[in-house]
Amino acid sequence: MSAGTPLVEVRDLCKHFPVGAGATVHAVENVSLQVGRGETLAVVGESGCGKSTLAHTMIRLHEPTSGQVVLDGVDISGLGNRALREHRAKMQIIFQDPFASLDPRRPVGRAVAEPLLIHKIAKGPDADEQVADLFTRVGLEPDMMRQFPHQFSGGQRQRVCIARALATRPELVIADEAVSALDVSIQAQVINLMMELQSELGLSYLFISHDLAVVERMSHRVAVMYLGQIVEIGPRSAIFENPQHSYTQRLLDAVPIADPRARRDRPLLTDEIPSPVWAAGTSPERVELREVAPGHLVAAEG
Amino acid sequence: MAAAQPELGSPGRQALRMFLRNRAAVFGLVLLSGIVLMTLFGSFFYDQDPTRIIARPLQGPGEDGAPAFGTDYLGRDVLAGVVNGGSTSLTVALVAVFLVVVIGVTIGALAGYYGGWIDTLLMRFTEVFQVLPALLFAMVIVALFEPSTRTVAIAIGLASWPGTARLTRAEFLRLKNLEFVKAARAVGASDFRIIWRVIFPNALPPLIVSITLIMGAAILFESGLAFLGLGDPNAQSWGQMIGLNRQTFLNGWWTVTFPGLAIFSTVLSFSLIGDGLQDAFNPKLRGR
Amino acid sequence: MEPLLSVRDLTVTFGSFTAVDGVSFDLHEGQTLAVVGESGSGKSVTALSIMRLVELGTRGKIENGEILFRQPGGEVIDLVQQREDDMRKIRGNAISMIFQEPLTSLNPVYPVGDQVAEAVMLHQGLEKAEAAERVLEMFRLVRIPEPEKRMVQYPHEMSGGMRQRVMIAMALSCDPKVLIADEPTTALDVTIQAQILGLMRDLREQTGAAVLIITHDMGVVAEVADDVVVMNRAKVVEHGPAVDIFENPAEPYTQALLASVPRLGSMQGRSEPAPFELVEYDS
Ligand SMILES: Nc1ncnc2c1ncn2[C@@H]1O[C@H](COP(=O)(O)OP(=O)(O)O)[C@@H](O)[C@H]1O
Ligand SMILES: Nc1ncnc2c1ncn2[C@@H]1O[C@H](COP(=O)(O)OP(=O)(O)O)[C@@H](O)[C@H]1O
Ligand SMILES: [Mg+2]
Ligand SMILES: [Mg+2]
Repeated sequence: MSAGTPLVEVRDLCKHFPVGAGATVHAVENVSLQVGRGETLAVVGESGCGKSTLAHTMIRLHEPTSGQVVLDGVDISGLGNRALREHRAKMQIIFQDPFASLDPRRPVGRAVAEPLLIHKIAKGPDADEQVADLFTRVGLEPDMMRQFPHQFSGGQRQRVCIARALATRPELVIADEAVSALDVSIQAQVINLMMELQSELGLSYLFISHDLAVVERMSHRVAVMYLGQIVEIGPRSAIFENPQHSYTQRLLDAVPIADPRARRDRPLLTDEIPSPVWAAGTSPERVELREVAPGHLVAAEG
Repeated sequence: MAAAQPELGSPGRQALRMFLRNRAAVFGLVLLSGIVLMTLFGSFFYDQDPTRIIARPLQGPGEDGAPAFGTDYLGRDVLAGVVNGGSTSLTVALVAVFLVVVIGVTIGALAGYYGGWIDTLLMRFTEVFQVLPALLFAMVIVALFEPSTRTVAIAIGLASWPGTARLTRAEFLRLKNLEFVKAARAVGASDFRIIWRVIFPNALPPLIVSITLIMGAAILFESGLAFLGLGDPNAQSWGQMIGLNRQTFLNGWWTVTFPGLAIFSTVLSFSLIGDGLQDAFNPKLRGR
Repeated sequence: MEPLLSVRDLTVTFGSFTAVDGVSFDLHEGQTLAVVGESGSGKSVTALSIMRLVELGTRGKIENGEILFRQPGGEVIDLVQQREDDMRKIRGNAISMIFQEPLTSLNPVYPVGDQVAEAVMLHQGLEKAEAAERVLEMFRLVRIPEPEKRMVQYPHEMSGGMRQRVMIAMALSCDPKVLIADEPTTALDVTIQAQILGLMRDLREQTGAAVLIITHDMGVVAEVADDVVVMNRAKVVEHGPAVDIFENPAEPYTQALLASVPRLGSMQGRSEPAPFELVEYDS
């Protein structure tokens, strides 16, 4: 869909956590994906499948165990601290809990100004002006700059976090369950805002969510993760209307339909996702993706 | 796909596993076991009356005819004193800590659980005890009653419970609003059951840590009282040995050094164990 | 028919703040009633009032209203007027409740089987061995695989879905007439949510218990509810059969709420993402 080179290319990214007694959590295992410019790639999957770890490893909040992340043609997985900081400005992240990610003792305007100061984009009155602009852009009154997080509702706080993420004029914004904790009406407003900002600023989103109905609304492409690996990736319509992997199908089947007439009787399953913890010397089998349609890749099932 | 699940088991067993991985803590446990064994059974192996004068006073270790740790200012066997003196210290500490737990936990639990005026009242009461200088308070009690091992233990216990009450209260305040307490109420459990069966076991980890440390403090406390001559004159203890020998200590370092080492090792062992337990109960360190 | 549970004009305050304001609804035998609304609208406070748990340890006070409950014997009592001792016999017995967080709703220091057995022993006066039998039976009912093995496990050794099954087993262990479920699937993944909702539907058929389910998720409502109570800012704004509420919402608030619900399949045939078409709502 996107013309030219992708903004971000992740190649064979692995992130393992040692967890005592020689065991290892294979949180992210050989993940490869691309995010095009101005595109939203959604990452879906059940909790614990590695979505957050993938996001954190991509922006090097975690050091990757192996693999590369190429942003704008630069491999950032090997960058030193100083160079990394410059590139960080191009990638920002918004978290699920807007309350936890704002300092309760500081006016929210300061939180938004901080990235401007850190990256030496602006300072003094100039910074204030930019913060005011950002507030307007995300639908907040500029006067609200001087208020404290507890004076805001959940939706407003998430807007503050979005404003903060936009301060460095990033090209990629990672939203890690950024709307999951919001009430539906607020969630819908925040999603609309994110889509508006995308078309105005040409942003790319890596949109992490477990809510498939939300993902269907706002993504161009979708990656389905299971146990640290991508089992299916492709254009949104392909994933939602023509899912190929049995796990994708199971996920879609489980989504409740907001229509009481469409009530279905489902088989009562009790199976659970296996553990991603592996003993020393063992490791998960690597799944190979094969292309079933242009841009639509599916893992082979045994 | 077969993945290796790390074994878990009960919270107690997990903590034990963590504890055993901590070398310093295990050393503390071994040291303490050694001291306890010496106190319980030492006299079978070193059958010497610590109160009897057996040789010339102030004979150093290694001198002709002197016992292994020398003799004190009256000519009593220092080693026999060290072997037998522990029982007073440990008994006093145990009884005192028992009192601390009974009083401190009860008051803290009730204050934290019920809140409101019950909390205010109990905490005022606790503060009164807390602002009293503990040593002075204990000295007054011992002076008022006869200085027996029992009085000393009670005095130390009464002087030491406020910290435990505060800790218990804080834990109860934290735990009482958790969902499983709500769930227990929704099942129809009584207050008594909720306090003792539901919340209390969850408050145990920090309490156990603090009680371990209080044991060490109580040993020191007892030694201090005995040093000042406020112990039971008929029960020999490490602190008392140091107190009685302090005048002549320049002529015989061994008279105070060996009982001093005994006190030091006991307190050290409790503190190492306490540290180990702290880590063992810390869920953030699990699975490392 | 006379309702099993009838909440009439319930008003609950915390100090000067009114959390529930004149709420009324009826719950009939075998019925599933959903209370929906955004966070802070007073759903949980309503549920806790029925259990008479709002006043405990908080400044909560039931200012006004009746909560009429038809006891298994047929006698109708007002729960608001019951003494704490009598409520204790009702809680977990004739009316039971499950909570949102299946991790924190279980006591971390006891094996899950013991916790369910405790509830059974408390209300049914069973001996330990009999209670263990009952626990096993309940674990099978809520389809916990390998129930013998699971009984002796601790909460942290189980997944969220299994823990919520344990909570449901506990709630159903004394054959309640009313099961109150406060956001029972909110903390769970969709796949596990589907399992738990299916399980709750099955169990209602098997046990005949009436279910009061509290949720903010319209998808969940559509899946399980016969009737719906929509709450906003402490008040009931709309009340009716689920199909009517979804197809012909009468109140602007309900319309605005439904417009913001993401619906799977709504984007079929469209190639580009599309914003929600929101309905303006001012209160
Ligand atoms: N710092 C860490 N140490 C050990 N294991 C971790 C750590 N962070 C995440 N994990 C494990 O990695 C897996 C993936 O976690 P996460 O990325 O948070 O999943 P998701 O965001 O999809 O819910 C989980 O099994 C989780 O327990
Ligand atoms: N213990 C309490 N003390 C004070 N206010 C409370 C308490 N519990 C709930 N509230 C307030 O009552 C209102 C309704 O809460 P609740 O019923 O929990 O909402 P929800 O619909 O999300 O379940 C909220 O504004 C909440 O802040
Ligand atoms: Mg996550
Ligand atoms: Mg609630």
